[in-house]
Amino acid sequence: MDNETAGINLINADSSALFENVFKAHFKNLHAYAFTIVKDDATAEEMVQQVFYKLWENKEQIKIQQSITAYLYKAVYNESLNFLRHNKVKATYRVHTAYNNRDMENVADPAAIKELQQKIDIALSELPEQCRTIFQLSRFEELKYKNIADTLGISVKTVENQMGKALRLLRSKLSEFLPVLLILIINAKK
Amino acid sequence: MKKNNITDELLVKYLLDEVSDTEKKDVQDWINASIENKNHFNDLRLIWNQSRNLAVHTDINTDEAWARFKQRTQKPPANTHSIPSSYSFRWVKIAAILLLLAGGAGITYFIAKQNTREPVANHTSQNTAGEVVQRTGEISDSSSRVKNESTKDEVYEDIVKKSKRESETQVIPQQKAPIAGLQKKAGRKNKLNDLADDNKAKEFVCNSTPCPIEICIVQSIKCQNNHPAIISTCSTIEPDESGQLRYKAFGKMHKGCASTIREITIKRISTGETIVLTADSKPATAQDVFNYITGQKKGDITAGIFHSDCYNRDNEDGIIFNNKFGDLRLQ
Repeated sequence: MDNETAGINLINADSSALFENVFKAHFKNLHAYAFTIVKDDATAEEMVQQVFYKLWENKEQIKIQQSITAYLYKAVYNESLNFLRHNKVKATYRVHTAYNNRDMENVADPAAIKELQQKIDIALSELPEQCRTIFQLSRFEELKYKNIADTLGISVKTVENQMGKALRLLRSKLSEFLPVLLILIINAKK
Repeated sequence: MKKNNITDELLVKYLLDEVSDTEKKDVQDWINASIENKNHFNDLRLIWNQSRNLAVHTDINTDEAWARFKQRTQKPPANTHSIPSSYSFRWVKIAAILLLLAGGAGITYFIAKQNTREPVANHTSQNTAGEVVQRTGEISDSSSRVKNESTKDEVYEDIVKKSKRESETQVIPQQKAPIAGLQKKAGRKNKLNDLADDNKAKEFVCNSTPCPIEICIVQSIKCQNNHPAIISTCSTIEPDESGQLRYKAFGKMHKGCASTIREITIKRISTGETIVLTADSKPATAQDVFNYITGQKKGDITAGIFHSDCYNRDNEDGIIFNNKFGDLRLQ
């Protein structure tokens, strides 16, 4: 990927044009990623801005061994978790979550679906970093396994394993909740 | 779940259509082999399908974000003028969240440096829920700073304005005591919920202000079953090419939460002049002013103590809200 090589060079070459490219190429997706953690548009942007700012400030020192995308996701993840810790809002942010209800209108029990989504959201926020990033790329950026592997500089097999792990973890966290819901949804679709 | 080598990994692959034809067949056979298997797969599929709705639907603009980033990198850290807070926020949209939290209608935020406009004096009073505090007194303009001889003789008048729009928007009752601005009223929460679906972009425009301002808002957010959290957010707003200070506000609403504004600080960065509004400010509290910013309250107001760097308190100025324009002016 062009951005990958560009990303590494820009750190050494101090080229603001390249930096801008990397910023613009990743900003939206990183913002969406941060949002899943901090649950707030503004804070999510601040997280991403901070990551780029630190990268910018330390561009002479930072040597990125891995892919720039992997680096950015990891940094945004850490920044966001630090933020939550720092502000002790971890307990409260979950109730803040705003959901997009538009897709749920046809379902028999929207409240139950909404509850499920909240639970998925919480479970998702508890996934380990790599697992979560891969899930994010697959689910929300809708990348194929191959693309995810290329983007993060890992093997397709790792992506496979992490995706399996992600769904398995989500399922086990939601285990009490699922049987009831499935019935509701199956009925609603009939 | 590892019967016949069917793992969760493979099921997920199948779900995402990443499987080979052979694998596809294997998985389908496995799913149809037992109701247990089917349920297992359906669980994964349900989670996968529902998680899609968690995707962030944001209209965040990358170019604008880049502009904010550039602004940040060009500023020496010592001059960021951030009011110390638990976490450093230096950009504008955060304020928008606050505005949305407070349930603002379309907002025009207007700050003018030069040419003081006389506050409209002596409004007639009527009885209603909303209370607007008006400071009377003529303010004369001298260069960039306003000298106001009459500050000490200020006459505060409680004026009350009522409009049809206002009665629709469920104005929070205010008491005369300044602290009243901090009280949470029951009606507020409903209001918030009503507005929860309103994720529309709102614009915040400050006209003809030649220098950037920084606005810091300290609020206390209380969500269901949780302790209140104090959140301080600072934003620097800089003029664009046309000289306007403007940003687009959008954000996710927090359902079931209520916010109380504890302090608003507005600083003109070039001069360091600052207005600080708190629960004790007179004639208006921070909450009062905030309600004007968000359009929850309508009316004329002059509020705030504006003191400069040199601590010359004789130069006390204020903020003016003008009903006619729905504006906020810095004097």
